[in-house]
Amino acid sequence: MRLGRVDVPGEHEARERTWAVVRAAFGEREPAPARPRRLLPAVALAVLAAAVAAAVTPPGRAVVDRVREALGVETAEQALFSLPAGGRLLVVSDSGAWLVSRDGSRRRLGDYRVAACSPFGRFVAAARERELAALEPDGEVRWTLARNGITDVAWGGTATDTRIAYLAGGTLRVVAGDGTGDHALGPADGFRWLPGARHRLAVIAGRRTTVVDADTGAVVAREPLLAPRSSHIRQAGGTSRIVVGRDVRFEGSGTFRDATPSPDGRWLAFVWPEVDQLVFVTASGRRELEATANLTNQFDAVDTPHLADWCPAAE
Amino acid sequence: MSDERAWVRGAQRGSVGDLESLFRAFWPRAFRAAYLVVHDAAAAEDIAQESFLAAIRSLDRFDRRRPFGPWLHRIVVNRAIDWTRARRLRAEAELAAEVPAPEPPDPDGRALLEGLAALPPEHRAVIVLRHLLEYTPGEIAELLDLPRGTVNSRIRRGLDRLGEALE
Repeated sequence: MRLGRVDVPGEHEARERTWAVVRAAFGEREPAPARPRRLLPAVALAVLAAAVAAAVTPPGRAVVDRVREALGVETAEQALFSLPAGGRLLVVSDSGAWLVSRDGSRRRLGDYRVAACSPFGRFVAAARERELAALEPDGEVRWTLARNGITDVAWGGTATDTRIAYLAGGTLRVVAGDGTGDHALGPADGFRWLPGARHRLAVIAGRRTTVVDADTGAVVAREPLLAPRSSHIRQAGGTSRIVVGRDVRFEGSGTFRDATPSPDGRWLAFVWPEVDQLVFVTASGRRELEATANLTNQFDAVDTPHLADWCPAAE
Repeated sequence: MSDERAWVRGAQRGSVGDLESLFRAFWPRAFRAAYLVVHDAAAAEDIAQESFLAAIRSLDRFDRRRPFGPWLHRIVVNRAIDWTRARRLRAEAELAAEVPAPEPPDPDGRALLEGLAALPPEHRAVIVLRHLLEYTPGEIAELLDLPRGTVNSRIRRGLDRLGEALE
């Protein structure tokens, strides 16, 4: 194989043009500051006082957090350079569905409006106006199914036998992971796969929640203990909190949404629309915080993108 | 590797000289890899340039313990695949008429390029990563987030089709 010796037209000129651009960009870059450079004096004093308090007491830590978090996570990166845990983030914006790899590289999967990962992260189920599709992580389409009005999708099951459940026009439907056996289960407002090898769904319809066998549609149980997806978010009086058990992991002004655990369970990611940030906080133990700003721009969106899933690393 | 780390460290501290060393060491292969996937010198220049600019933007946060090359090549190859897919959606015939690709002077090189061009972009990418950038299948799997079996089969199928094209 002689790929290294293939003549590439204009290589030298291209190199010098690129070097000029790269050098200019390097000259304009702003190294990450160790601390904010232009704080107003009053804010600076508040931060200093809070820092002193934090050094002494746990409540002081909370004071620091409030000062810092009133306007978003101060240390937020300007771009999503990396994920704090393994797997891939599945983000849906008004420009389509995107997969973000651990190193921060992004791939647009297509013009999809809802999406979810397969249980082992090897595929993505995604839907647009008139189509449900199963995709490879690189966006290659494995199969499609023509359906109108898909508003939610979730992929459940085991490594060898999976099902995709989706809401289309207010009807809950289920199809096997290979695109076969599509069938309707009935009207629903929401649903969630239940853990375990049996294909069972918790289905919300009106004010009732039932457990349904996804293959037969038989009702297995009524009113299960169903945790909503954002069970880690508490909102009260204009303040939102990320809560794990009784432990408040993060607090800030405004609303949080799409709280999603990492595949290893060590981190929680959530969207903070008011400050256009995606925030990661450790779910237990020592509190660590990472965030990325400019979420809307990063995903070529007009409205704040949604975090659809944190997919396991494909085996 | 030690040079590479020193250059990254120097560039992080603001040294233009170290940045230039890094650029001159890594740009040729980045550009060549992009070209061999997209088969368009102008697009390859854009892709390699954008990838280096992405590197500059995140230089302060780059972990010096990690090798720079795989990180850069991952960006380059993924962007090249995206560009090729997007191009397939446009009117290729019209584009080809407007922007004729210059032919390489070397007939063997031309045959190789034509053979590569006939492959799907995903197969081109793994061939380039394996035989230009000399990554192992395991490393390619990691770079492209693909199962190793998929990488192996793409390399095998790609080489088979390339062999047929060169016969």
